[in-house]
Amino acid sequence: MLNQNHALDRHELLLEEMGWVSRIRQGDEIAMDCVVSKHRQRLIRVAANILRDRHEAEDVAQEAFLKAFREIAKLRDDRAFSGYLYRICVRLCMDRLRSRKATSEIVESGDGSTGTKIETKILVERLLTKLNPELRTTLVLREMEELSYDEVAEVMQVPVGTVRSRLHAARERFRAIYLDAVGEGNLL
Amino acid sequence: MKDEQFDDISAILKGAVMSDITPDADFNGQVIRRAKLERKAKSLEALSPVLIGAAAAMIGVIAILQVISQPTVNPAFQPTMHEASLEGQSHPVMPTLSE
Repeated sequence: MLNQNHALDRHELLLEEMGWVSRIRQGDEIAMDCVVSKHRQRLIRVAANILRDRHEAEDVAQEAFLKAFREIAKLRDDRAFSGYLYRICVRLCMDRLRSRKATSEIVESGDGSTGTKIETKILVERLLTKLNPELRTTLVLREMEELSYDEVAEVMQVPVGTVRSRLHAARERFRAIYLDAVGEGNLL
Repeated sequence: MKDEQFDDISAILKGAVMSDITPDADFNGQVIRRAKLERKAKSLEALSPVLIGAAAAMIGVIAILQVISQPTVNPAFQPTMHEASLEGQSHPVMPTLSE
């Protein structure tokens, strides 16, 4: 019964969004506002986790909305709007990562302690910059955004097999650089 | 390798999730304003060939009007070659230095 209600709610939300999408095509600003309100939090969070920069994340989220609105005519199925928006956002994040200057920052070895949560956050941020945009995005989408393999594949527009291999490589690489940074025996 | 073998990595990454993000108060307004501007720019862009065509047509019309409005000279009133040469002789001859 609960599942049925949940499915019904989802269906209603989808119908509501489809209505907004068709109104956006006519240039309706109220519908734009509704779509932005619905997706902004998630979009900014994804971008922030990939880019590790709140301000840049907001910027990318805005760009993603604008691009989605601009190219809304290309969208064949209105039901796919949220996935489409999410995909644009991830792609924009990857473009930003690629255009960022390769930092030659070297992670200094720790003194044997994993530190506080904030220190760990900062360390993770620094370590993620060591991964290439593909590995980094795959890792963030899977581990931080908790998307399924299929969802990651859909967002990144690659086969599931590619997601698996990238994720494996990303985890291995991340573990190696993490151990290098904090010292062996300090893994959680 | 299975996912469980990377539980340590998962825990570290989950601990670094940036979740407490509050968007700018005017986030929606900014997006909508930018979308509106883009739409306007696009419509102007679409209009530009029409505007260029209209401007060219206008220049053409002005040129035609200019030609039409020029006074036409009746060839009957034009001096003949002979009259013109006579007219040339009637001009006083300017004295030269040697004289």
